Amino acid sequence: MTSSKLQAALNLSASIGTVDAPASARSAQDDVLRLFDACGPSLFRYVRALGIDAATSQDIVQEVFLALFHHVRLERPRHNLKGWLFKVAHNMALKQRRKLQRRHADEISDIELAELVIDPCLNPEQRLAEEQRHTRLRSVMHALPERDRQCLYLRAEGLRYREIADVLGISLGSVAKSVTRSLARLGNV
Amino acid sequence: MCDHPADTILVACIDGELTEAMTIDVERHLQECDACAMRCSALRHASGDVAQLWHPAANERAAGPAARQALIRNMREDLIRRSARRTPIVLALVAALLFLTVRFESSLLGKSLLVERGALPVSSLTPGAAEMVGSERLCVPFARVAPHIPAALRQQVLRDYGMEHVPEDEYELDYLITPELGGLTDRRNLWPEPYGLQSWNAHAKDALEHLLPRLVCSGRIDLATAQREIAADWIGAYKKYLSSNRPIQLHARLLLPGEPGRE
Repeated sequence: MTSSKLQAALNLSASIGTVDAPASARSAQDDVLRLFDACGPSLFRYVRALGIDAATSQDIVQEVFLALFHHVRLERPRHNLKGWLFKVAHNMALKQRRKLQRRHADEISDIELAELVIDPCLNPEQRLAEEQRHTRLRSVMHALPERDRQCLYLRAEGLRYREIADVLGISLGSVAKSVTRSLARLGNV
Repeated sequence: MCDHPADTILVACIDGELTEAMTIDVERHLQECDACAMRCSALRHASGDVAQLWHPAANERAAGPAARQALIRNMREDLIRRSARRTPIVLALVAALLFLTVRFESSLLGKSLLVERGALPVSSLTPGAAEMVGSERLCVPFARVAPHIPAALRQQVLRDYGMEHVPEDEYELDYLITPELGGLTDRRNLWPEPYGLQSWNAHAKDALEHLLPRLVCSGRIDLATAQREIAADWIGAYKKYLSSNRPIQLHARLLLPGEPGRE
């Protein structure tokens, strides 16, 4: 988000609601918005990858940042807020998924993976080969154990192994093995 | 590094998770070992594939202006909700504080507000007994010093109160109507007042007994009234004449207008 958009959003915030937030709340709100700009899309992708539909994923992301707002306002520890966000999102998404599974198992959606962007300079044979490889990659990705996929997704979002371990509640060694196993399988495609 | 690094080490190296020293070792090995270099390249390529698969271009909606606006609105509503939720809690806290203050008041200062057991005599046993005395006898300094209480009478009163076995240093056999107001040395006018009382004790009663004769002698109240009131409820009389709902901690000598020493 550009600075002008950010300013517009802040101006908009001043016109919403009838209660003037105290200075501490405004400061917390600014901090949360900055993190929302930085991590919002990542969280949304991660929640989507856990099998939650787009609309619910958006709701969960909102809830996560509201929880962050509360966290910041209570002046709780601020170290590694990115890891904190993913952990909260992970827990909320799994909770939501369990709820959905109990009601309508078929509502659990599959992950959304990007379509392949093929180099236009390739000749038709190369393009075909690349499309086939991409299809195989997607298949392998879908076939990975869920925990391995989660490790891979969190890694792709830039989390360190220690942060991934914290989000998923597993050991550092398990994260390293999981990521290696997944990349090895994808590397064989 | 003599051995070939495991895939885990290669991936950790790609991800920047190794220490600096280990990273240098791995990179040195990769320069010398073609097999490991190829393996590392494949893993790096797979990592790139994941990144490409993983980052769909069209996910801006999650953090677009609409989502941001929604978050701002949600934060404001959350503030309002929490503040509304806090109001009853604040009221409850204020009520609890008031309750505790009253309790504190009554426990600390008001040992005054709560009359301890033993502060008042049993009215059926000690209704009070006095004679009417003229001012010429009553209002002479040291005219009516408390007489000695005979041992038999003392035992009788203690028996009445079931305190014959209580050590003497734990109570004072007190006159209900002080001799300074015509009180008699009589079974009906004596009762064992415990020393252990912390508020309405013998010291407080002494202050009243000091004041009432002077009020009578100065003509502010008549003797019969003083006798009746101290006999019926000396604590009530204290509150009335000393204008205090609790015993005054330091009973300074109370001087009435016109008495020597009062300006």
